[in-house]
Amino acid sequence: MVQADVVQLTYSNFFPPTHFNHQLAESWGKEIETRTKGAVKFTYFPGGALLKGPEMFDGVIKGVSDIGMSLFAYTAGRFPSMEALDLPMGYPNGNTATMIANDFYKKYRPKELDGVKVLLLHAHGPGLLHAKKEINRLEDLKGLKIRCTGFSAKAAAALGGVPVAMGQGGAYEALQKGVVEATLTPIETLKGWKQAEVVKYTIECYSVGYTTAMYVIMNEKKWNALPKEVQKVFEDVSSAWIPKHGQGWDQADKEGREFTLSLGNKVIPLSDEQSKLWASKVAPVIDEYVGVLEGKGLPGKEYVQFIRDGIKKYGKK
Amino acid sequence: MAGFPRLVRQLADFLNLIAGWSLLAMTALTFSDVIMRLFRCPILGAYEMVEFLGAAVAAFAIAHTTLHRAHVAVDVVVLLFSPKVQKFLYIVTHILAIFLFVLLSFECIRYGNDFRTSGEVSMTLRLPFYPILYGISFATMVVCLVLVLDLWFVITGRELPGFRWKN
Amino acid sequence: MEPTTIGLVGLAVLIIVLFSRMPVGFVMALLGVIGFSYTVSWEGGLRMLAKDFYTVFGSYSLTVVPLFILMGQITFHAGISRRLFDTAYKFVGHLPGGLAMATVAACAGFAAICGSTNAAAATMATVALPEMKRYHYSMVLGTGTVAAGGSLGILIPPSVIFIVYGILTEQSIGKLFVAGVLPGIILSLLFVLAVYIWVKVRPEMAPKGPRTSLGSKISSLKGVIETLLLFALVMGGLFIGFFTPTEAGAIGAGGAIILGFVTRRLGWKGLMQALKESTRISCMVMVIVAGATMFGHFLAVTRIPYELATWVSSLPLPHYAVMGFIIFIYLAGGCFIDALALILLTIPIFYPVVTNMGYDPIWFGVIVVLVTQMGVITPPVGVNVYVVSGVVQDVPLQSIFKGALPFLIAIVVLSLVLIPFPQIALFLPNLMK
Ligand code: NA
Ligand code: NA
Repeated sequence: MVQADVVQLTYSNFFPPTHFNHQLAESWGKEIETRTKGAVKFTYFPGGALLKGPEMFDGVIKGVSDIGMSLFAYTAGRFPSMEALDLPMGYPNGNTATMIANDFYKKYRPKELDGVKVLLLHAHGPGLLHAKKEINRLEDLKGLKIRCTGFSAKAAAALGGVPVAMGQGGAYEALQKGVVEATLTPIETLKGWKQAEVVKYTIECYSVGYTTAMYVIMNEKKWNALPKEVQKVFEDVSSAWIPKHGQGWDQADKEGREFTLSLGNKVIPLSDEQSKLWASKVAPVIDEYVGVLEGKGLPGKEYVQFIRDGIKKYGKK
Repeated sequence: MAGFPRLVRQLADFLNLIAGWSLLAMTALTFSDVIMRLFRCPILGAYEMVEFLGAAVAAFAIAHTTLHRAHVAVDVVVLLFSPKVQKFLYIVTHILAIFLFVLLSFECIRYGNDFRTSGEVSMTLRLPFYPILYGISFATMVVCLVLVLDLWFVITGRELPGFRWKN
Repeated sequence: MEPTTIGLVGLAVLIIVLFSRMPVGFVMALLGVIGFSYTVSWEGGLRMLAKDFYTVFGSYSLTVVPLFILMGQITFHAGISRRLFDTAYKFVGHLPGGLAMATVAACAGFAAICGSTNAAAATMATVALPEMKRYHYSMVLGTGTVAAGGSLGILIPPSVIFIVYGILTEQSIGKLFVAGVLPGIILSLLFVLAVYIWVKVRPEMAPKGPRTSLGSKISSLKGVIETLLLFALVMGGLFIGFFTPTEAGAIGAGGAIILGFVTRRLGWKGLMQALKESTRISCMVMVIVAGATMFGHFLAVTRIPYELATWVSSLPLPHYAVMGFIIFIYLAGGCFIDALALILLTIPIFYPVVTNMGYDPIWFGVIVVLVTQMGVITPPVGVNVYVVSGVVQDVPLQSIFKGALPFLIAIVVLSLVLIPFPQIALFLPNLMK
């Protein structure tokens, strides 16, 4: 059966097993199993079967699961620095957001991530607006009930909408019934969560595109117990998988776009003038974040500039 | 000893009153949120508040539910045994239950502490989570007291063992 | 010890300790935390325990449980359910098991607003059991009817299980919902048939009422006005899009309170009494769910569900035999752990196997829901039976399990019919584009 010296590791993921991010987690594990010649073996718990999204970080620290994938935004207030990544900065695509997230962590190593081994980060493509009615101008948004996460609620309000904060799980029914009239989310969810069935239009508001940064972390004790050469394999494979996640997000966005078009839904581009106007409306949200962070003695301004530079560096659409 | 049973009962009843009011608040909050949403001004964060109140409903009712022995238990087999054996089993399982709730109470405090030091808050209203964990911890501590009381009454023969709702 | 061995030992101990008269939720939580800690670590096990209680108690989707229970309690204390059943008795009281049939119909109607099986069972038990008792119906029949009738909550849309299945398998939730409609109606009719046959064989279970004149039938109709108002408020609001199914519980409870106060049939005292009983029943349900979740997490880390699922998938058997095996595993698994936990753990493995064999994914979703329905009424861990037992208190568990048996047969019959005739489930969704 199993050799005595094989290290058994559990990997929890809040993504469902059919999601490409979980499939990447499995291929990541396979690669490590191969390269370490079977010295490590993974057991997967996708779809929140062991730890749900908001429970992940604490659960990995406490050793409920050895490795975990989830998003920073699930645990508001716990990652004040990493929250910078989730601002509506105008990300052009998921690969850019993913690259910036990893660079950001490498450069600043925020204290809030002490206590776990960060294996890799990734981030989805721009969060856009998907609505049941046609939207071309900022005025069309006034009073629109928009489903959003707690964090994107500020952007939704700044644009004149009425934010209704709820998880992705309840979005389908809420849109179907008209409880909300629009949702702020990457286009990928139109396919992944079937929401294309219940919206009609996607508004390409790239200038205010936000992202949600995600982590793959490992319990520190388990990490320290790994032999040096095995740790090296983990590091190498993880770096090699970062672009796979980034490109995966872009591929998923492409499929989401094709899916929603195939159902007869429309994609509405935003004029340059409107794009600028929308960006100017959410600017105070970014300023507010900077203010709060500077108040805590953290370099909020520098963070935002770093992300802007990153978008210039990586972001050719 | 005369004061202790009364104190425990009053505590359990008081916590259950909080649970009841939380349930009413949950109803009122969601009801108003739905109405306000029709007028395009929903209560932002209603979702989170409902979760907080839901936790209060379940947690603050456990002591009362346990005091009135309203939990579901399988008694088919036990009823075949002699009263002596039944009493013995009741004592053993009660000690196990006390052990469970001591663990739960203890870990909820530690979980709450972790929430407090990490600064984790709810997404929209940015309310801290730790008071709920401390609340659950306190509620489960009262459950331990209730279980001790029930155990004491059964040992001294003032109550028969059993799990059926009693008023 | 190998983790799977620990899991098997855990299951064996669970069966023994369940019979010790320790509360069911406590047993599952205690064995869950000990088993998890033994398999993983004490630090991890304790944290899992705290997380499971905290997450279950504070889960938004589970808030339908206390809210619908409150709605049931209010309709009871304001006499709304009493007048409803008086009217029903005038109409169907002379039929064999008429009130039990009416209860099945009420369960099906309630299932259209509530997506959870526990909430449906608790609410319908609160509403229907005192009334059936009043008309001297056997409580074996009565409790069995509501325990099984409550399970319609996940077959007739909205449904928590369809949503989870849809997300796990990337199937259209809309199509899954629609797929549940026809089987839901058929199963409700089969439940009615089960009552009919049962009462024909054992007439003493349900004493017949007198035939009533058409005039007294019509004049009794005013007894259903309040119920109709309440149902119209919740159903109408759901359809027009004023609120989500999760919010429907609060609208129902709030609506019932307002209705009770307006008609002056509910006073302050009645409200307080309703709140007190609602918290007790909700707490009883939530403790069982939390305990089942903890025990499910323990079984998950022992990898038993995976090993079993992987083993079945690799069997060199004809398709229908593999399918039969899969259904059997859900049935057996449903005897011990919470349905949702089982689905989360095994669907990722079974789903590709089932679709590779050429079975329709939407159809399989309906089968999974049907087998889940069986699980909630089969011993030793039958959550709906526990819930009903917690509500009535004076009916022994084994009587409720016995009472649910005819309905269990009805679910099995429907599942067996669905295997050669998948169109029953697929006809309506195939009409969608
Ligand atoms: Na339903
Ligand atoms: Na069962």
